[in-house]
Amino acid sequence: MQLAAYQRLPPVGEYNLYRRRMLPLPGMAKRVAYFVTCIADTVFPEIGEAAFEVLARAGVTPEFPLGQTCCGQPAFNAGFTDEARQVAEHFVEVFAGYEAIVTPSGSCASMVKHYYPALFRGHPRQADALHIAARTYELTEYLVDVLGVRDLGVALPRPTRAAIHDACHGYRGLGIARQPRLLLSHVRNLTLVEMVGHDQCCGFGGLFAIKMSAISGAMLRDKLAAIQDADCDLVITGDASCMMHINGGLSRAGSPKRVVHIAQVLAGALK
Amino acid sequence: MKAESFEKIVDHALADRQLQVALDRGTTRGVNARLLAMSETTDAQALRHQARLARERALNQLPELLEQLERNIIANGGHVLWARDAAELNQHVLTICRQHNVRRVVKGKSMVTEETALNHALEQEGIDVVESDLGEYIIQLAGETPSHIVFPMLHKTKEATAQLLHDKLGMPLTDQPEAMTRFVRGVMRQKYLQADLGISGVNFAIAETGTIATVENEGNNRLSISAPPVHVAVMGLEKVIATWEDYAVLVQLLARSATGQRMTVYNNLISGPRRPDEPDGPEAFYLIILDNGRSRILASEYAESLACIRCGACLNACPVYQNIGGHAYGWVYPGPIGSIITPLLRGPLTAPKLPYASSLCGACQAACPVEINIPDMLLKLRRDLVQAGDPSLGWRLGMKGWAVAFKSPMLYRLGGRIAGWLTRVLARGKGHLRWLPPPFNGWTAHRDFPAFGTPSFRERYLRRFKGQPHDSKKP
Amino acid sequence: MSAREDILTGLRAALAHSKPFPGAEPAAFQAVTRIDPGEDLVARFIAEVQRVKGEVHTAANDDEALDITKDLLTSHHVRRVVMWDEAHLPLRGVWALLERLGIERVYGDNASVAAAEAGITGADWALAATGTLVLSSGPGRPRMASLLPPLHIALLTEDRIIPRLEDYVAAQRAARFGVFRRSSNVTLITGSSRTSDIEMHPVFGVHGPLALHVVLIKNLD
Repeated sequence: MQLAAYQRLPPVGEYNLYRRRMLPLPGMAKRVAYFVTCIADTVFPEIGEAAFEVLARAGVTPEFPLGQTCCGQPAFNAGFTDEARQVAEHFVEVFAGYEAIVTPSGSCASMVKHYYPALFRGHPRQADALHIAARTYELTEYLVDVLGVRDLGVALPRPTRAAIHDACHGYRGLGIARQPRLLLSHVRNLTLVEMVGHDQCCGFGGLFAIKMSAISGAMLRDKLAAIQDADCDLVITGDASCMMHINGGLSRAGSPKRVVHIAQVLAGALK
Repeated sequence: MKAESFEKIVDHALADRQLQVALDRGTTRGVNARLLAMSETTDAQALRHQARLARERALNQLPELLEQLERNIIANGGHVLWARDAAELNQHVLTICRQHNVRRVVKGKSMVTEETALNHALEQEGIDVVESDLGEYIIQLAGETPSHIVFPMLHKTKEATAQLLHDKLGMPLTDQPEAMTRFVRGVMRQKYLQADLGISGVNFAIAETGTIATVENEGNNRLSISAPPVHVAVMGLEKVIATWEDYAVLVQLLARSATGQRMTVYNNLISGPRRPDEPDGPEAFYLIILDNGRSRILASEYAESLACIRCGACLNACPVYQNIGGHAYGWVYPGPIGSIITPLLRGPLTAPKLPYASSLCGACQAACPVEINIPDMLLKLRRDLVQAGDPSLGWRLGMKGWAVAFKSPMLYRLGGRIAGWLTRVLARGKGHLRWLPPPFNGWTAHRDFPAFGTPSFRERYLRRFKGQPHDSKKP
Repeated sequence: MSAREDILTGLRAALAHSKPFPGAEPAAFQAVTRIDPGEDLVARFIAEVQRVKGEVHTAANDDEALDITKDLLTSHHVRRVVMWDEAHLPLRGVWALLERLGIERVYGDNASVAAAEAGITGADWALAATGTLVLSSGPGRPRMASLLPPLHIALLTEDRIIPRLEDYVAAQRAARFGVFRRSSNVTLITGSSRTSDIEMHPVFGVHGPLALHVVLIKNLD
């Protein structure tokens, strides 16, 4: 029964080229879409895969709309509202009509939930955008609050002490703090330790890390120091972008510690 | 902004060891004190919302409340003056000084007078003005400006403070803040007694009785407004509130958010000049109400920024402020709230970097006792800057190109493949890159960049369903 | 147009079409500071004053209160006092006590008052939840008594202790806020003066009194 999630998936439905997504399969009660995010699709496909597997483990077989790209946040956060809206329009086109849209990123979920309503005010697709905003969930939020999952039956290969880095947009934007801790508390061989400044920004902030490189770098140093001081072998976070940023710093500093995405832990994908 | 670029100022701040030590000590204490004090209330979240509604109701009826305030102050024997801008406020103060033959002024802490550069205006007329707040006094001695709304000398270590007091006033060197404080107390005593006029800010102006409220801990404010024969209070017009019940919640959240106290030591409630039968207190009381761009903000989508009660909690909580300190923000109001009100009060193009000097982490909003959504306003200011054509042509073209690519699944996949291939080539098998070309070199200046995984999730997904074996790439 | 007209017209124009916060109804009013049901207000007040580095001396009766006051004055080597008129103090005999001790009572301008080593005041009310004294200025109640001297002695009877700031506000509303017309200055005093300006490190005793002593007198049953 372990980890054969993909084999339990139903066969692929018919691919509708115009709507760029799978049609629902007969008998599927709930149509759940998986939004992998551009970063977990292209930079860290293993995270995209792990999150998909976690959902399958929890008994949900999401559809993966093949036309998906990005939520539009990079342009939106840079102030380029028109450009962000163009990409968001595509997102709405791809994800309209689903019962739930699940994504392994608090940041992307927060973009859709918080900013789509205003971005589509008076827009022909406003109704769809509002529908999507109300039905987009971050992965652990969906697992715990919607599915009621607690224990995914996962064990780490060896006893591990891990600290959580609460990614900003999930933590403060969506109030995600309890859900990952609950899920991780049921992972065998895993001891959770709290880290000083667990909710402090790592300094990523999208283009901020490039445009305000010095400030972002200083924030990253603060975060690396907290990780160094924490009594842990591993840091777990819910956003691939923070993970990329902190790991970039740890790697540059020559630290043996690493950050992993919570989906990788919950999928039992850590070796 | 000053002539020096924002990036330069930031670099100096980050390299300033003394500043970094002072910021670390100060902001850590500030954050912890606030968290503890807010957790000890009946219900922190409900109270923040209550405080927010108190501010919203006041802003909804600003003209009526200001008129009511004015009526009640006049009924109490005070005078009310109105100032459209900084110059007009300073002119009012100078006129009052002339009427009362004022030579010496003692001043309690007031951000509005920093905004109008009142000290400078007074000194130009030959009037001696002394800041009476300990921190403000030390800043004035040093010839500097405040770097924090509540803790003006947060950028200074105790060691640097002792050296300054030693150099300027001959204090014996010490590393004890207690000894420095006692020394300044002695210096300031005579200044209060000799002053012809006292100036204070206003934390809240309660319309229903015409009372102005100031909060403080040192007693300097109370002395400044009680000892001299004339008291001039200056306020931004947004400081008015409707009722005493609103005062009760706001003043307590202010104390808990600013310094972690349940109440500040002195809450001074001033309703006009001394009554004929009272033994002491100033004979004349003036309130000056300043606009200076605030009515323009009220009409904009940034009206929320006027709800600010100047507690400074967002500064302490902000990881950017924690690293660069207050002076880098370039004007009177630093930190996250400064990044909003500086461009709003002075014009967006006067501080085009400030809205971008944030990772949008939201720590400011979470700390704010009146729930101001600072990240959303930073986003709107960025949008305004883009619409005003501020970003370079390169950025604008880059964003246009990004949108074209990311709204087309085909171009997105193609771009992803090319970028992935490039990162893997540049990584040369190490899994990460130590260098990226401009404009991405900002990233690799401080951290490595990962080589993209391959194949993409999308390809893996499609393969699975074609019955191909599970390609389990290790994380 | 005058600045006043200009500003008010501008504000009215800004609010003409829509309020910036249409949803701002009056909030359910909730007190800020926690008090447990059935909590002893006197004990809470004493604990809170001590928390903010004030001292409370409890007196079972007037004679004890006078003894405490005398000890405070002599132990601080006080020679001059600025004080409220006895009619505004909850304790008779302070004036006579000063005469017995040879302590001068100073009045008048700031320079004379500044020579006092102690100030003796009453208090309108005391707030248990925060250890706060409420003092209003008025005839026979100089502001300076609680402000200029290094030692502030406040005389208070237990029946003046109310739970919180919110209760004080409610009482003033019931009294139509007369105090804010009669008194140019109402001051809420919570502990002795302090600063955290140097590295946010708390230091007690800045420009206001260095020490606050409350003499808390039991009421007659």
